[in-house]
Amino acid sequence: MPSFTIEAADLETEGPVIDVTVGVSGAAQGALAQAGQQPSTPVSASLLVDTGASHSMVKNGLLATLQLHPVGTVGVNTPTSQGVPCGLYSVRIRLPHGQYVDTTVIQSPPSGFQGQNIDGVIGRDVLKWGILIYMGQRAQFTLKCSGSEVRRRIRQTDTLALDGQQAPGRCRDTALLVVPGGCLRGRGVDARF
Amino acid sequence: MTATMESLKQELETYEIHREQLLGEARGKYVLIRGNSIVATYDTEQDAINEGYRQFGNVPFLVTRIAATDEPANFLSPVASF
Repeated sequence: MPSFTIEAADLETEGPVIDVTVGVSGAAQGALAQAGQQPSTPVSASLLVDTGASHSMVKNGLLATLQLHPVGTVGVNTPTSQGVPCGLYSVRIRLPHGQYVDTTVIQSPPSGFQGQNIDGVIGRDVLKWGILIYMGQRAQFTLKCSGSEVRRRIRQTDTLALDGQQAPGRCRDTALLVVPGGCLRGRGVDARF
Repeated sequence: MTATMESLKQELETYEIHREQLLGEARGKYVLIRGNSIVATYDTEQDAINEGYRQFGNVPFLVTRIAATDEPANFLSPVASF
């Protein structure tokens, strides 16, 4: 599983912050291409990895240049507010190691993330596809994430391409591939659909 | 009402009108709604979003999980407070 490690001298005070780009999701890119439009350039953002966040959320205005429309709404609970209605947007978050995750992010109200050095948070909607390792004594953190190549639960009917060879297989979850003949044994797992 | 809610006003009303029916047919799945039309239900949110963009393009449409009560997004850290 691809990973990246970030050393941050101020890890204790600032938390695990990563620099990503936020762009139009793959699905929206297809729609724009069909309409003869070019997707906007992804925007840079510094996002705090927050295991206490059920969703990823970005500050108001960050998505403006992407010219996306909402695909849903959600009520947001924070320590100081309850059920604040916010829009959900379909985006592609590209991580520092080049892998990406297509997900829906919440756009915060204008008062969100004011006076902070971050543009939003990466929540458990992204973390569910990876492994987060926090090494406080080394002031490092590592995120392993396969990105959208494994962005949905693998179904038993899926065919997995392993090292370029088709192999019918099944999967219990994103971290454990089970294929006939144990053909993953001793290999780096590289599963594509 | 926020701009987001305003742009999805009709879709949200359509969902409320059909919520009970959808609960009986596809509880836990994701429904795609455009205007006053229930397009279809899907196993995953991403499948519904993909189909929404494929059918309608880059316009507002609603994808939501079919549940008796809407599930909130929870942020435990004050960093996300507003």
